[in-house]
Amino acid sequence: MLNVLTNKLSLTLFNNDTFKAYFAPFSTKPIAVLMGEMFAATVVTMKTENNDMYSLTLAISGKVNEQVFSFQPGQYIELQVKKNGSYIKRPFTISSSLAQFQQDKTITLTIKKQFAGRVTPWLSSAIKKGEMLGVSPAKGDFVLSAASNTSSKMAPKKEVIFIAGGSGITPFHSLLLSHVANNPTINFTLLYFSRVNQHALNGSLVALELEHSNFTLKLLQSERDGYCSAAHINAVTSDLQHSEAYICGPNGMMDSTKTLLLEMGLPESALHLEQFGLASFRNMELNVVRNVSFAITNKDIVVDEDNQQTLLMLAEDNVVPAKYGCRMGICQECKCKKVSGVVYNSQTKTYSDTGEEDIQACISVPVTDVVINL
Amino acid sequence: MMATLDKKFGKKLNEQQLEQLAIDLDGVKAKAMQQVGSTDERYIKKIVRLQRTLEIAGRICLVLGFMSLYFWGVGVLLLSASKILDNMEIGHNVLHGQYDWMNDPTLNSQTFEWDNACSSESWKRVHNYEHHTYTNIVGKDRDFGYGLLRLSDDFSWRLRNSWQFVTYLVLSTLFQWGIAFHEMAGERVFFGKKKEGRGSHVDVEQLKKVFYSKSTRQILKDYVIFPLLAGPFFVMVLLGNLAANLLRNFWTSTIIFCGHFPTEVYTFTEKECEDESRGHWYYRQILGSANLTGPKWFHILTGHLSCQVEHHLFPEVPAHRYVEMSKEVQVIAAKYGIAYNTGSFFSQYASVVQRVIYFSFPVGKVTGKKAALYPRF
Repeated sequence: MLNVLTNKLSLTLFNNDTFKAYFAPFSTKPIAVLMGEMFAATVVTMKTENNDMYSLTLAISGKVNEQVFSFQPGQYIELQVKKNGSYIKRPFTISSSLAQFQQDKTITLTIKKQFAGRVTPWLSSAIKKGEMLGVSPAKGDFVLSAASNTSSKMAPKKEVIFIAGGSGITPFHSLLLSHVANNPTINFTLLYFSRVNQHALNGSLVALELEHSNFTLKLLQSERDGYCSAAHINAVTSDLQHSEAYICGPNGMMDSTKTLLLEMGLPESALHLEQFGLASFRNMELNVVRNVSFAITNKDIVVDEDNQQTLLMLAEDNVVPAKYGCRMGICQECKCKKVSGVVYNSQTKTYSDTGEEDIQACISVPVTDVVINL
Repeated sequence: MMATLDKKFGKKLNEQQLEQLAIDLDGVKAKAMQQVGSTDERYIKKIVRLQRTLEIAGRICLVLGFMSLYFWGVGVLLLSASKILDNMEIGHNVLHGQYDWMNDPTLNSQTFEWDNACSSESWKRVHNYEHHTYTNIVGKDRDFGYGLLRLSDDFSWRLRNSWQFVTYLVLSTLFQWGIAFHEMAGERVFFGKKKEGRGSHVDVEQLKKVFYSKSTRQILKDYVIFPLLAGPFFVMVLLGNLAANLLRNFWTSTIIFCGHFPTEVYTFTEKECEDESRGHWYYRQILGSANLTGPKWFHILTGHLSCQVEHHLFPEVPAHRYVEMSKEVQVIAAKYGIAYNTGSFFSQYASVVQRVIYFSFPVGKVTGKKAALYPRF
């Protein structure tokens, strides 16, 4: 109530929704932290894991909208960084344990460098110890399900199989560090597929296996062992019908593993999948069938490969309410938020970034699957 | 696309030249946009900090006016400088989306609101859309078509044009209210017939609602709440706010008139601009605008609308880059023999006055030497 009143006063006196917004230019805090949308996170360490992965440890402080930060292992956060004057948000999985957070209020993100990306290759060298970033509340449902998490000592042992591919290891690292010790009635198995010598975080995984008899680690090399096969599964469980399986990795690997497990008798309800990160994008991937999701109108449409219509035209053809003006990229009336995906700017002949940003619908053509706030 | 005639040089720009012109100017824009980054972020943040500081200092000085009238005078100047920065270098440019790439919600064209009776939403529709798309097309750009003043021979003379210099001074005095009322007047919300074919998709009720809520807030702020906060010095603060608003009104109005109505600025007809190419659009922007020369502080206080030509060519490029870009634009304009209108503040303002007065007389079609002064495309 008081909040509403002060905001009304701020709007009347300073034409800003909040007093905070009016004084924002004086602050060095990240804007989302200042506006109370994100938690403040201070960089503690930056550590190289292997050629293309690094870990970023952040101390989280402050409150966002009166909430205290918390997470469930397996969840991700959105990180807001400032690059060349521009705030960028990217989702990253938390790879550290709950215990680590309870101890010193830090979380670790293990990040893969997307070499064509705008953020991940740059971040590791650009960020300095002590710098403040914005962190969103934890999101996602790739967490240990209630079905597997029965603490009753009388219940029979449960089998939980984690299948990771490449950088898809990150949520499992957090899940295992947090749950193995506290759930002695669960047998955890991790099948971790990666290129030879590219298994990230394996030091702590090996140590965990040595310490706990209810955890089995299988480091597999994709060059030698290929994708996940029936033999790999049969080697770790004989009771797939009563197991829970979690998969995270490249799309192709996730699809084939999912099909395999269902064929082998795993109930669909016991299968958990995590699509992670933003797909990397190359200009060659043009002329494909694309999905355009208008998030506010709740309308999904499929765009043919040879369809080069702008987002404004697609919106209008599908009765999605969209503001427009000049229809030639001048007036910005059609400006709207792209939540994800790549669009082609037909006027500047450039491709957009993959993440969240403002675009002009009247000159933007979707190139990949896109989500638009219209 | 018809071939177009450049009066000053007597040369025609054919379709091919217009296409090349578009490529050249796109190049200037692309080069500038490549450099856009933390320099621009630091710049706009610095200006916003300056504006906030001026505003707060100005409001304090106004209250201190009870000690000495000098304080009051300084307060008025500081507060009007703050309002000018807020409206021009910050508001106008942010509302063009020049800083949207920063993803900073406090400086985003979709959410920004300024210290002006005109709501941002209405401004974006009338200014960003109509004025910038249809620059100087008589009948489509309300600058030339809004009927208060006769500024070209496209309209026949009426008795009320005789005293239009006085009308112009009144408009300048009440400028923010003229702007706020602009869209509603165009839509004939309160009186008269709605003009057909405006292509407007704004609900009239919505227009009224926004107009009343924004203007009420502005009046409350400067003439009720801030004076009340000053307690016994109510009247002093009220008068100070009024003076600051008036100064801002005169300044913005003068700069805007200097950017659009000096002599030698071209007007166009709808027919001439049907199915216009991108090159022709660029061509029209150069011919339809005028620049002002001056020192850096002057450019900043005009919101870089002193570089009206560059602003009309590249409305989404951060405006503080226009001075630098204008050098390249002038080279390109010279290459194609396109008249580039620029001059000092005083000479441009004198020619604005000349135009307002000239068309207040019942002159008909402008011919001969005068036609070069008030060129029609």
